[in-house]
Amino acid sequence: MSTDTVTTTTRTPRSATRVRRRSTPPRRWLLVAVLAILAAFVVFPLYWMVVSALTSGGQSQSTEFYLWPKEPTFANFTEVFSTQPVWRWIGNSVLISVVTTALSVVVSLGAGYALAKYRFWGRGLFYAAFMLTIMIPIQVTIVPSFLVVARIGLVDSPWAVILPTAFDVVGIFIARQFMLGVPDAIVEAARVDGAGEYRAFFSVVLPTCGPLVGVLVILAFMARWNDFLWPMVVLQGAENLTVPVGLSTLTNNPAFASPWGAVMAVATVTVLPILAVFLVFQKQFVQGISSTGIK
Amino acid sequence: MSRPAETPVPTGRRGRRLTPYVFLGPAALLFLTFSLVPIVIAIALSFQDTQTLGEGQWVGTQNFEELGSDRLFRTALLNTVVFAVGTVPTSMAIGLALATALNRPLPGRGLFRALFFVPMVAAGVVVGVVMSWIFNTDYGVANNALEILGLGRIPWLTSPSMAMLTLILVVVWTRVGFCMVIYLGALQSVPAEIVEAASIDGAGPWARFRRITLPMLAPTTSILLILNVVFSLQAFDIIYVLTGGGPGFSTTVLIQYVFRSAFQDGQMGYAAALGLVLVAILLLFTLLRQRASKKAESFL
Amino acid sequence: MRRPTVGRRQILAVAGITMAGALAACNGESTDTQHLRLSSWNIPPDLVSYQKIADAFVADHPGTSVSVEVTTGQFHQWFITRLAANLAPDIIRITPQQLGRYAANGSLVDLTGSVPEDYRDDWSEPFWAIGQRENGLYGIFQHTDNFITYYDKQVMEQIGVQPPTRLEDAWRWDEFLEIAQEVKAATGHYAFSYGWSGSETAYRWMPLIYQNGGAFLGEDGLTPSMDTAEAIGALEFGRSWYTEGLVSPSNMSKSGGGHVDFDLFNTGQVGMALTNPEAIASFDEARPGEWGVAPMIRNTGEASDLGGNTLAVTKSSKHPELAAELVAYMTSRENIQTFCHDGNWIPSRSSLAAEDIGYADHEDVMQLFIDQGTTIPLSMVKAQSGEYFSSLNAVFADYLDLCLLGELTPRETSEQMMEAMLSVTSR
Repeated sequence: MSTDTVTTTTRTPRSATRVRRRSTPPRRWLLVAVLAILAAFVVFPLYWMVVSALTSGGQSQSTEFYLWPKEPTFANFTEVFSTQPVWRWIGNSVLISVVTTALSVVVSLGAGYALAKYRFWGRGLFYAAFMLTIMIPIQVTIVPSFLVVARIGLVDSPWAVILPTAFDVVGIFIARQFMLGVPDAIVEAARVDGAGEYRAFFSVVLPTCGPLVGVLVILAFMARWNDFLWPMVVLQGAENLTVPVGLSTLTNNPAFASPWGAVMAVATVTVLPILAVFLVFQKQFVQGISSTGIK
Repeated sequence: MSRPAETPVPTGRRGRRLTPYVFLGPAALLFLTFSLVPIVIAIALSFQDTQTLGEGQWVGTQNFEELGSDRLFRTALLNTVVFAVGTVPTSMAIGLALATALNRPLPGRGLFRALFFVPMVAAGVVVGVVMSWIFNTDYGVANNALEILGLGRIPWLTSPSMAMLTLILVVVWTRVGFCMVIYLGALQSVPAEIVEAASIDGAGPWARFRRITLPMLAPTTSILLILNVVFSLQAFDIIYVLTGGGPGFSTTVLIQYVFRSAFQDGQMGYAAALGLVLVAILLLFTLLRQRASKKAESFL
Repeated sequence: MRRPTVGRRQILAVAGITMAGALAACNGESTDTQHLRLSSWNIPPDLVSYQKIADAFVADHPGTSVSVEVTTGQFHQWFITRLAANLAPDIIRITPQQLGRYAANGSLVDLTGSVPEDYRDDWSEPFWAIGQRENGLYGIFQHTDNFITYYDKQVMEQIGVQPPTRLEDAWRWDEFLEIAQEVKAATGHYAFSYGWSGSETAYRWMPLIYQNGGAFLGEDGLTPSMDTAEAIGALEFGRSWYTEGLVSPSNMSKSGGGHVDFDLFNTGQVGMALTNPEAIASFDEARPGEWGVAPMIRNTGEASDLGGNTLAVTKSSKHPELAAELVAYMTSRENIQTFCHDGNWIPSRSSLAAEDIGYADHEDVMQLFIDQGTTIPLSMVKAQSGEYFSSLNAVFADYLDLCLLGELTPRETSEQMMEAMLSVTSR
């Protein structure tokens, strides 16, 4: 894994180039057709979400089969955007996700490097303990966690969401895998040249981490974008909520009928940009994962 | 593609011995503050009898003993195993199949990748509701379509024997894209030379896949397996919205029972005990997995 | 971790955290104004109403301020967590079914001293009993709703049935079953739908037990009593809805899927719907002018669902007396009237009729709801606002679902439900 992985990004698979020169053979087209059918099924529920958002009342139900509403309407969108602070929710989500992602990438890079490249007292213990945290269901720790955050005085501020989630075990794990693949030789070479430990990291190791950072950013951003239970208990006030928490104020309550049209409209507005981002960056993303050495 | 041997410890100046702690510092600090303290409290709670807010009483292992005679716990445990066995290998197999298909040049490859990936980004509550509309027995679009095709209506969510299958189908749907993307990354680093060499040696596509690609993907599979098991054991939102654990107890899983004990019954101690059982299952699974594959380094 | 380099990093991080905390604190209340936070469900017209009433209150009380906030989903999880750190809002809008445990475990403040004496006279005994416990008053019921029978006018015409309009003429169970058979024949699918929305609302079926002269809990509001012949009879009645194909299996106590009851009616699969006032908006949108209303069904007894919300003061409040005063103010006759008018709710005060509220539309329907509200039995109210109700409701959801599905017979359901209920109440 070591040297190969780091260079994968720049290497186009030979077989790929060779095939591309020919025209696509018929069997490939069959595969494309199968994939297209499968993709249609996979996308359908999200398509149905959009259809629901465009149906008055948001309830895309009927006793007859149909694929497109007879009278599509933007009423759900205009109503929810005029009665709920949706832009604020989106703004908060973006802010919290971006800041947390940035912090967690830094934290994960550092931890991953330490765990991969040093042998020190407590390494195994920390690593095992980190892994343990993703196994404990949040329902059990949420009250104690809240007490801790309240004691520090963070509740009702975005930091209450940002700081605890900046510790991202999956990110640390991926970073460590990548760092294991960075050849020791280049770190040693830097040391021989008289660079300190930190300079060796910043000037030699970090520059090879581009794809790793890409993957960490995307995975962390998506995880934080969809975070629900924790932000739900620490954020307060309609203006300060993130999108999933904002949506939860409209659903899930026995006290009133949920405005599903509004919910679907907000969900549509928040999913489509992410789809677009992935569509544009999927190649870099896949190559990034390839070079992190999660394999 | 083999894992490198244990990294040699950098030796030399004394300062170097501090360096790892500096790099690990932020993570360790956040972990100690926001994770370790709550976890220790939760473990302590599991040995207490607590009402919602009142002070707990130490009751030793009573909570764990009660689990033994709790029928709902047994049902939920069994459902959890069925759910995990139904979702994890399926998501990974389909993910791998898609990754293999999309690892070669195809028209529209980027679009396909994005489309298969996108279910992962939708919020659980929204997925739950949309799916419950699609799979409604009476007016859902799935049954409306089947009716047109002359296939009759399926009691997707209304029959206790079907509901778990439908739930698994829905969860696999959300999970396949993640597996696909990770496998795609892994496949790209399988050297084409080796596959070609095997091809020249006369190995067919299936043999090449099974003898070369699959073993090379083993570490990825190992990680995905554990991540997927964790995801499955903690899947809450979708089940809560889609079936509410019903019909009957047919889709009640452990995490829901944890939620119910903690917040509907206000029995935090019992909920903590349930949560620890969940952790124990995961740990056991991880350890077994490690023993099975010799690649102990790959996870813990 | 003891090394100096790490120490510096730690200090920096802690300093950062403390600064963030200090910044957060600055957003909060300043020392000389008494600030109250009221948390409501996220219903835009209600948020406006609350703020309007609160502003009038603040104008009369210099040195105070009130902010209206929204309660997030997963109510108990949010509220318990907040209470644990004493960071719950001062005033909480909460359903009667959610209220009991918090009133019993000391999370709410006794309002007795702050509520005018004459209030009690304008609430019916059941409605007042929601907040009233032996040791104090823990909430004031602000608005209510319940279940009536909606019907499809065309279907009723087709089968030649004239639905009743007055409570005393309400359909009895056997009558209702007969009509339901005809409705089913007319729709070609099912006869009626029932207004559950998820397992948290399983209790909405409890009125059926009381209609048959049974009870969920005994007179003391604590002893499970699902083993009576009346309770078993009600379960048998419920089971027959499904064995005779009158109700869709997708419409059951645990089913998810949003408003299955509305959707079945809107798509013409049922000709009747037993549900709450929220159906009005949905039916008006999907089937304007095509629906009518009749009273809730009854048997030997009358009963309907206990819907609505209570205002309560939490123990997290730093100004509990002021908060209690605001709750009393918000539940004055005038303010309940405005609130119900603006939000289209049913008033909890007995002296307010539909014409006093001046509803924008459907005054007759709203008056029927107001009248139907008088049939909500006291013992059901006590059971539902009791200490263990959130656990008991979960048990009820489990076994009712098994019974309606036919996995258990009504008798087995009764036995197993009793056992599970007893294990809750004997905690």
